[in-house]
Amino acid sequence: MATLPKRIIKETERLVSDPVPGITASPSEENLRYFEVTIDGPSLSPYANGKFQLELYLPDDYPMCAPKVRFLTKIYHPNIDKLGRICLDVLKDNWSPALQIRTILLSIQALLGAPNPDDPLANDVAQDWKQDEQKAIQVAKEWTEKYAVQK
Amino acid sequence: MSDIESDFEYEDDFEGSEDGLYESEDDSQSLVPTQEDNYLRGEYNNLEYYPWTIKPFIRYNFQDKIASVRNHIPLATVDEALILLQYKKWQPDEVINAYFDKPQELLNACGLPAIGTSNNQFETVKKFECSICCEKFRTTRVYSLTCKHKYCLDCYMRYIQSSIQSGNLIKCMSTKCSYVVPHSDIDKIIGNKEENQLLLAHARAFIDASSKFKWCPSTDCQGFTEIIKSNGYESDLDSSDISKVPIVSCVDRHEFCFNCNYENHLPCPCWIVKLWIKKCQDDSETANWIEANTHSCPKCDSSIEKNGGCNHMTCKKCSHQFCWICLGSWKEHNRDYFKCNKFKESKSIEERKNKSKLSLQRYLHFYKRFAIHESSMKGDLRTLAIIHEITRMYMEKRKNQEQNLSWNDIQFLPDAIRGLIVGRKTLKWTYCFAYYLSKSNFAQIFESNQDFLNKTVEDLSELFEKLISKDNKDNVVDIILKEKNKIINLSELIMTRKRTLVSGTILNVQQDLLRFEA
Repeated sequence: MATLPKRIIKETERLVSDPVPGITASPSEENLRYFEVTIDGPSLSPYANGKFQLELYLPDDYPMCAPKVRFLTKIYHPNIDKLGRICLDVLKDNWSPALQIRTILLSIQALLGAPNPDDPLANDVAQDWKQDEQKAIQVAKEWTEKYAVQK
Repeated sequence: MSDIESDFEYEDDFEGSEDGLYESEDDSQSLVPTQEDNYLRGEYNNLEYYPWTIKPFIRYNFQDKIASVRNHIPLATVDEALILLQYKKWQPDEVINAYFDKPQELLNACGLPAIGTSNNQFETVKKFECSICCEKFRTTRVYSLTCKHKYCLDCYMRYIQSSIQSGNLIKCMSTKCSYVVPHSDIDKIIGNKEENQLLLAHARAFIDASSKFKWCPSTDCQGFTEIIKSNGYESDLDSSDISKVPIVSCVDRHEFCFNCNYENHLPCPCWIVKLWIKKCQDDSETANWIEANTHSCPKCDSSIEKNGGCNHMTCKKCSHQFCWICLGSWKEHNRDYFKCNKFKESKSIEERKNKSKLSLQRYLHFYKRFAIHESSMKGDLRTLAIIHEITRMYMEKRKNQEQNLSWNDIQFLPDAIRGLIVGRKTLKWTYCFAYYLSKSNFAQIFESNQDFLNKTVEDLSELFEKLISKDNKDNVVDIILKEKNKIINLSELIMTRKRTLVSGTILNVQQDLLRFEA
């Protein structure tokens, strides 16, 4: 494997030495471009108390292109589909090489706090969200309880 | 203009109408190619088209507009005009109106500082740490836009290379900074092998996104064709009129179907082509082979191919013992060893097997011929490249010796070559056609026309092949000149027979004399 770019080493060091509250990211031992991530659901959101697992991979041309991120924990959210793929502008068109792993993970956490059913990825969920927001929030809470809360 | 509705869509973040740049033309005047570029406006049964290559396309479509913007905004550089135009989807009037209406708003949206104040810099700096790659340099070259966000040139190069393909404007790497890198700086940063690479990428993306343009499908061909006037062909319906199949050609005179984006596939209609391609790609034929050549274990259904030995089979998977002939359990007839008495039952199985064997054979018969002509076409091309080269060398030599022989004397060669290839292409598709054709008297006429064409194509191909054989190495050109009449006659015969075959077939399909079984 090619040597790891300095940028990735620095980011990894900082994630460990100065972790973001409510977020953990640790590189896998076999592949230092692959990170196991957990994000705490924001309090005051239907995802509160949940601990969501994600995987994050830095492609070869990182930081010229965005990291690949996916939820591993099932989640009921209009911008996250059942495969865990995330619809978020900074992961696609609005990616900038000056963004980092930590900023991306913070954006994902913010997305949990502010679902956007007008730009959906999971159409069925977005539909529910728009028709009856209270009920959708209730389902999101149930899913969080069922899949993301450690007992 | 065209009667195809524009469904051109480009760059989601652009506001305004979805009209393409084509519609923004006040008339089609500026699109009419001039003599200098030697463009042929193509026409084929009520279909009108232009064959293009990318550079003239940019010249005709973009350059007037750049000039027009700069006329109205005299201080704007070419780069600034390009950025403004790209943002406003190549509508100079909109750029100019927006600029005089709310200049600051337009400039902000385009990522430009006030016109004439851009301050983009390449510099050499000491003790620099690039925040993108995190490398610390003692001295390095950096680039910055008016925003003064400096990054090393290496990062900028990789950044541009990874985003240029989309053809979109490229912004400063800093988050939320919207300044845009000018086109000429992009060329400087990534090395200007070719000028204005962003504009080229942008034009390509534009062509890809528009349904009025199709790239020529021939290998290594850079041409593309624009439909000016459609003939109302309804694609893919099996009832659609075969005579309207939209065959166009590119600047290199490669003919292709604008509907399927395959080479000219006449006499086949598009829907047959679709079926055929799918059939060839499918593993449905593998399934047919398995059906014809293997038995399934009567107990566990695994496919078994018997490659010799006796008929007492033991399934490797489930160890079931059975008879290969009647597929009955071995236990039941192990006493009368060679008399498989379950004849009646096995008959229906045999019938089914033979039927699928036959259908596989039929498919292979046509597919083989289809494939052979395809590979022969490549062989022909190689042969012809050799002949071309030999002729060229020879002519150079002659010229030096001042012999009286001109290029005109061998100009018949390229035409003959084209004839041969066109003939092969048509032949190739006649086998696809024949596979789906139902039997009739008219089908027999078709087949004999096909035979005629086949023979002529093979004759010419053989003649060329003979020319480059080793025995003729030293006097190829003399032989070519000697055989000139024969070559011309054969290639003309190919064209005539091809025309007869294609037009006759189309006519018979139209009159429902030839029918398909699909």
